[in-house]
Amino acid sequence: MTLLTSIVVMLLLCLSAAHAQQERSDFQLNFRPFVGSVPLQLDTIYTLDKNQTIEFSTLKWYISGVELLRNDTVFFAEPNSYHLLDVSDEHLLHIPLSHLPSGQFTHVRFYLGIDSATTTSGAFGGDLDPTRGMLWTWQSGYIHTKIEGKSSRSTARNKEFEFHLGGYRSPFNSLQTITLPLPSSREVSIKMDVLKWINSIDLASVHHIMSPGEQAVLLSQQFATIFRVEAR
Amino acid sequence: MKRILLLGIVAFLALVAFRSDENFSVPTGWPNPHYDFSKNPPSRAKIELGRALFYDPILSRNSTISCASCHSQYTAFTHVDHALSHGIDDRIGTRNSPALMNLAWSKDFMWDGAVNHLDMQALAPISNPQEMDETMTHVVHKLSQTSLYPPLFRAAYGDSTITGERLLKAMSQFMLTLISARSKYDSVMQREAEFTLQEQNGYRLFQTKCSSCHTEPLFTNYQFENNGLPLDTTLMDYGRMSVTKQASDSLKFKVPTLRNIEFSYPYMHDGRFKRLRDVLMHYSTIRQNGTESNKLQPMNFTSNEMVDLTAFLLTLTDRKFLFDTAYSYPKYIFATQAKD
Ligand code: HEC
Ligand code: HEC
Repeated sequence: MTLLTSIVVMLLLCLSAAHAQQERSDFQLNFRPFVGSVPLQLDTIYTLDKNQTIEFSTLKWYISGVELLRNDTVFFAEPNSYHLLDVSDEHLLHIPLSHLPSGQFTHVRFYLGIDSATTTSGAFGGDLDPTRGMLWTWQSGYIHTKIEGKSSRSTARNKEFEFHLGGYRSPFNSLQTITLPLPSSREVSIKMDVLKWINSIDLASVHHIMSPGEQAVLLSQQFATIFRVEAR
Repeated sequence: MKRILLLGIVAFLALVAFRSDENFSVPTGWPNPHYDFSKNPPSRAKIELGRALFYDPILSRNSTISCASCHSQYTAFTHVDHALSHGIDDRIGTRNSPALMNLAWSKDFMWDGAVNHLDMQALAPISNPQEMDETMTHVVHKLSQTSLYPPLFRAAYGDSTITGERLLKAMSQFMLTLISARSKYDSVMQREAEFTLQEQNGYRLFQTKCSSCHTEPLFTNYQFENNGLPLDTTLMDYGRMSVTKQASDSLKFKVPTLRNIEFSYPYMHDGRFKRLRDVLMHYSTIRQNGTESNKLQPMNFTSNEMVDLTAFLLTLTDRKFLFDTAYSYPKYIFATQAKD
């Protein structure tokens, strides 16, 4: 017990020392999913070309390892950086960063998904908690991106589509690294055109991906291309 | 610099502490465990919470099946008498439940290594693969509605909040305590007992023919190997290949420990053999199946050799483990439970 107490005390000392060096400063990333030019809302039917329709019931994705860069060097790395973004709640679309050192930064870099070191290190709480529904069960691993809905283009039962994209083992590691240039403002919107992504999929033949593999990697790569910093 | 030093001290203390802790200690001559205890420091309260959860059917969808239904202590935590474990889930029905012991040394779980960490293991039986995203949440909800669990979580974690992480880590803690290291074999190794002549002959054979995969002292090399079993065409289970999707992993399965092998029948991932004799017959008459391990040597055992080998394998029985009351149904916890 005394051992434990001293460990705790030492850890607290480390933490408070680190804390004192930092200046308070805030920055926020806001994620804004769109269907083309219209903000995406769940359970809303969007009409596309040729009377095709699309509707999303779930759209969740992990952003982790958030870093701010000054040109090529890391200016700030968010500690314990795991965020589950979820369109079902407006509050779950922001990543606030605090305790930034003062100074300028030019880019933001993050993972889309959860890295394999974390994936193989056991259970975690918070946004990684197993109750969040983002873990596979019979085969370990986080679902990096979960997108479900219906479309007239899907040939599946009830015109559904379900994409649970993930995978942490090579050669089917579907983790993506995304780097985006930042304007100088302290609040930045990142726009994601989900329609552009879904248009890259032939829903008539591919409408369910529920485990890691080649297709999950491909669709994750394509999903990573829809993140754009919104011009003000 | 100071920070690094302090962290170093902390890490060192953690290491020293967890080679032998009042709740977990490494048996003499064994390697360091693979499980990272610094991420889930053992405590009596957490172990007992995990033990309650292990024996409680509340974890299953219809509250009928507990972990212990398929992992019974008296058979080294495997499923009594069933070749393929029966339960709530389709997938479960295709494999034989493995004996649970010495899990802290294991890196991969399940016959094909589909589970990458002990903490994640309980998710598999708890959740249904088709509706996985609601079930864990529901279990946590059910537990929080009982009168039994919030106090147990408070005792373990300082407050009564139940989360998936806490639940899984407590279950790991209980399973980590399932250490079998008190067999006759262990006594012989510590020079407290002696093998009979037959056992000694069997041990010698074992060391030449079997140890390359069933490596002492844990009796597994923790690799995936193909031990020459022909594919069961009704199950079409290709083992490790289903996880890695590599053809070279076809028909490879995790090398199981042989500790308590006397009780963990039926044998192999699909429980195809009922008796140790059948297993030895298999090794004696292996035919090529494509990716079998080059560690397999021609064996052609005589019947005397089979008797000797069997005698040796029986020295791996650890009755203290099989009857240790610290692992059994925690009556004292459930007795206090109001009917809810
Ligand atoms: C219906 C039967 C059944 C139930 C209930 C069950 N298991 Fe299992 N367990 C199995 C089978 C079968 C396997 C092997 C599956 C495979 O390899 O695909 C297994 C594998 C395991 C393993 C991996 C062992 C190893 O060495 O790889 C652990 C650990 C485990 N179970 C723990 C648990 C826990 C904890 C629970 C309760 C939450 C539980 N089991 C409930 C049947 C069951
Ligand atoms: C090439 C590696 C290898 C060698 C050598 C080997 N085994 Fe195995 N053994 C395995 C694997 C892998 C399994 C699990 C196979 C499966 O279930 O498909 C296994 C399973 C077993 C089982 C069943 C365990 C259980 O819990 O179901 C027994 C018993 C066994 N081996 C005994 C032996 C004996 C005795 C020898 C020496 C005569 C031997 N093995 C040599 C790899 C090996």
